[in-house]
Amino acid sequence: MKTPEINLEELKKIKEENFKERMEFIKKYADWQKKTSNKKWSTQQGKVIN
Amino acid sequence: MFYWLFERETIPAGHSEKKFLDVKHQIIRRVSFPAREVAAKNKKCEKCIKRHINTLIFFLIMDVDYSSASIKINKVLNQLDRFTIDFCSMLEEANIKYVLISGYISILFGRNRSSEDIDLIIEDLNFDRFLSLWNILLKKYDCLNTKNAKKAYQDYLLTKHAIRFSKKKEFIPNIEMKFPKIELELWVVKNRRKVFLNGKKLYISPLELQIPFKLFLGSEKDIEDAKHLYELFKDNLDKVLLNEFNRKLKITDIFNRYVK
Repeated sequence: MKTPEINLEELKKIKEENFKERMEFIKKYADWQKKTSNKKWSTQQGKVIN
Repeated sequence: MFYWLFERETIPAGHSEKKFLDVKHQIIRRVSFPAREVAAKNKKCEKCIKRHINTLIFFLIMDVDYSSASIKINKVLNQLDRFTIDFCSMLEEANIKYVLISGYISILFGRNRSSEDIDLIIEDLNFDRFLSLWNILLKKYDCLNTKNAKKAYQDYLLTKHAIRFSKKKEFIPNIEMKFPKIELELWVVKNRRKVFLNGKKLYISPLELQIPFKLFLGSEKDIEDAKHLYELFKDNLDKVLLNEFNRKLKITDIFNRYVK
């Protein structure tokens, strides 16, 4: 099977960008959590954790 | 010594004691010793070792069929599985080519961890096709980035950013969806692998790329995911392809140290 050329610098950049996006998402999530009842956010959390 | 391997909670309901004993030898040969060796090398605690081995035992007893055309797996679905199946069925409905990547693949095959997001890549779409997809998705999901389709398309997808969808009025779990940005991502969409999860069709990244890519990402969690997939599928993987990705991603040393 023919595999693609891989530019590691490009991949590292994407990895950094993804991390940055995740950080932005965590901020957004925390902002949402602060204005949401504990019951509501913990119910959603339970779906992921349990 | 291995008495705890056979505690009842590790045996799926409906499996006879005979079947259980049949796999006992296989488990000890293929799972327990190598897993213990690796875990000890990585200084894992007894609890972690047990959890790791129990996952592998569960898989061995599970109904899994690996062929070149597809992987078929039957298991008790968790919330994340149901969420993923539901979302992907909507992509199918919109006739969109997609591929699941990253952490969910390990969870799909039984890794004992969770995730708040499911990563997937969809084929490049023009705005009209994207709008059709958007309208289908918004029947059941909210886009967490924006409520405007044009903005989602132009400001996020076209600028190589992901957009996230969650069930209406919920935040987690969510789907992180993006267009392919680089040659490797185009390759993974083109060479996606078919999985039947309890008969429901999903497409995932080939494991021969998934394992090296996890090692490239390199956190402890990623290395554990890679190890888990390798242990499960090592007899079925295309080793030439796997080694080629190891070489191209320059992670052969890590692969040999932790995974092989």
